[in-house]
Amino acid sequence: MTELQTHGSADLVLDGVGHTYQSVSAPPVEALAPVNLTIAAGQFVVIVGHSGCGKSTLLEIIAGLRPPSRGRVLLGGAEVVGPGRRRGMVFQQSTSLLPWRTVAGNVALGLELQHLPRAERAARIERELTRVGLTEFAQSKVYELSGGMQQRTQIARALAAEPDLLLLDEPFSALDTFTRELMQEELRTIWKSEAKTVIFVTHSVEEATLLGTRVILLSPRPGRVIYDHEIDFSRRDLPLSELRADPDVVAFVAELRNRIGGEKL
Amino acid sequence: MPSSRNLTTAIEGRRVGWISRRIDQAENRAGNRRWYGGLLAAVLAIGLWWLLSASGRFSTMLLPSPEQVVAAFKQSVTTHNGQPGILGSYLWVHFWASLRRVLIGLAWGIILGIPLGLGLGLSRVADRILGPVVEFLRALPPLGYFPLLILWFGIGDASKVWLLALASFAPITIATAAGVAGVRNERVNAALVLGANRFDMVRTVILPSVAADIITGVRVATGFAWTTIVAAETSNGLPGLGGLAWASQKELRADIAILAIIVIGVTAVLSDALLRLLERRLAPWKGRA
Repeated sequence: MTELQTHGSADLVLDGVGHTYQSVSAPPVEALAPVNLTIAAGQFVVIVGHSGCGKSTLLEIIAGLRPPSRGRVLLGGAEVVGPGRRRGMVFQQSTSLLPWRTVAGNVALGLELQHLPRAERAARIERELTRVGLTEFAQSKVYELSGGMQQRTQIARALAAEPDLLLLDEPFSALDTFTRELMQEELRTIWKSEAKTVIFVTHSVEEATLLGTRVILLSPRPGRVIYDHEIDFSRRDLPLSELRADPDVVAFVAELRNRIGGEKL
Repeated sequence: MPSSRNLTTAIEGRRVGWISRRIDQAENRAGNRRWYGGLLAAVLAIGLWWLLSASGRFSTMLLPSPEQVVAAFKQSVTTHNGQPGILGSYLWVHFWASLRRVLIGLAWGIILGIPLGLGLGLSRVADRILGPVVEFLRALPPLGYFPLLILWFGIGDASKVWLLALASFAPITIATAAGVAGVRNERVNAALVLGANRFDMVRTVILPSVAADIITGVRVATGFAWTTIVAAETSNGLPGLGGLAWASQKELRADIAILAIIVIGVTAVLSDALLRLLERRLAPWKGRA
């Protein structure tokens, strides 16, 4: 219901966004060359690149956590000047969770900061914990959970605030292979049921191919868009385990690997 | 194959029991197990003391025997010829006088130190301006400025409490500021993305993150306060444990000095253990997250 209303109004526009890290003791480092992109609401955009290509910087700029050195970010026509509730974020490290709060307490954080009524908070916590399968662990301490459960808590925390845009910064890169594949499947299910715009940063070309509706490759530093392509493998009604072996997918993964490797140095 | 296990005499690899025991301890957070180490050390020290005094090579005036100290303890908690305890007061009166000064001084140190530490940790300007002042105050030996405090606040309790407040606020400030500087960036970013303003940030992220660091600072300050109070009580410090130890010199009563030292030492160890416990309660995730 609500996702239909946000369609069209939540287009994200990157207008010449670039970033240079300034340092007192070292010469400035250009992490991100000016990027122009328009991301339509409902897309699952995966940004892929080598380590240090500026993809996390780009995500932080979209989140409003880092003002860009050049250009501007527009969300639904409004200029992004700082962080806001319309953009939820899942961080690479689960240390972004508050260890003194329970799982439910962490999911509640954004809702408390919004001063939502108690009943509304409880309902949203219940809904998100059910979605990520952590209902039984609502009262668990986050530092006693496995890495996968911690990342599920982060996803629940972000979704509970009902953002238009979900930003994920290599969320599964610290997980073991089995957990990672499970989490990819879950994220795909969430995206399909919620029709949110997702921007997902990863260095895995396979992850990009399986999850994205659009893949953007960034060159090594300074990051430039070297490839921008729409795909639809993730929309197929196949579990990811089968999709992984699909010849089209395999071929596309190989092509991406080729393109990204070819740009190295 | 099965029998070779029993026949093997050679070993492969290095035994690393000590380090795995360290890791186990860290994981179990079994700091409490250290108490028997402390007990052993105390028994050894008392044994050595008893041997030295029983050898008769030292005058009992200079090195009283454990029995003499026990007698001094008995005197300190009973009435003699209408005189209460020792040097005018019962031992618990001396003890409470010192403890009270330490607690009030520490309380002021905490009240001043935490907000100042938060300010230094959160504001670069405050850190530039006030940081050196705090470092300077910390570097000063408290007894160096005690005469000034006596001039300003008199020889009563006020100057002693001021001394303790000044001595204890610096370690608390510095520990708090260091804790704030060490708050993980991801935690701050996560709260920012969820809509936290400055006040929310301090309340929901910064303060809970640094709670354990603050207690560490209070621990350091408590130790500092005890050493300082005993020295401060050398002037007009009766009743008080420092006054007790100091006055014993004039009375030629080394047994009283040793009694006072033992009471101070035990109190310091116990308060440290209490604060360690609190530290663990406040941050059970330390070393795990």
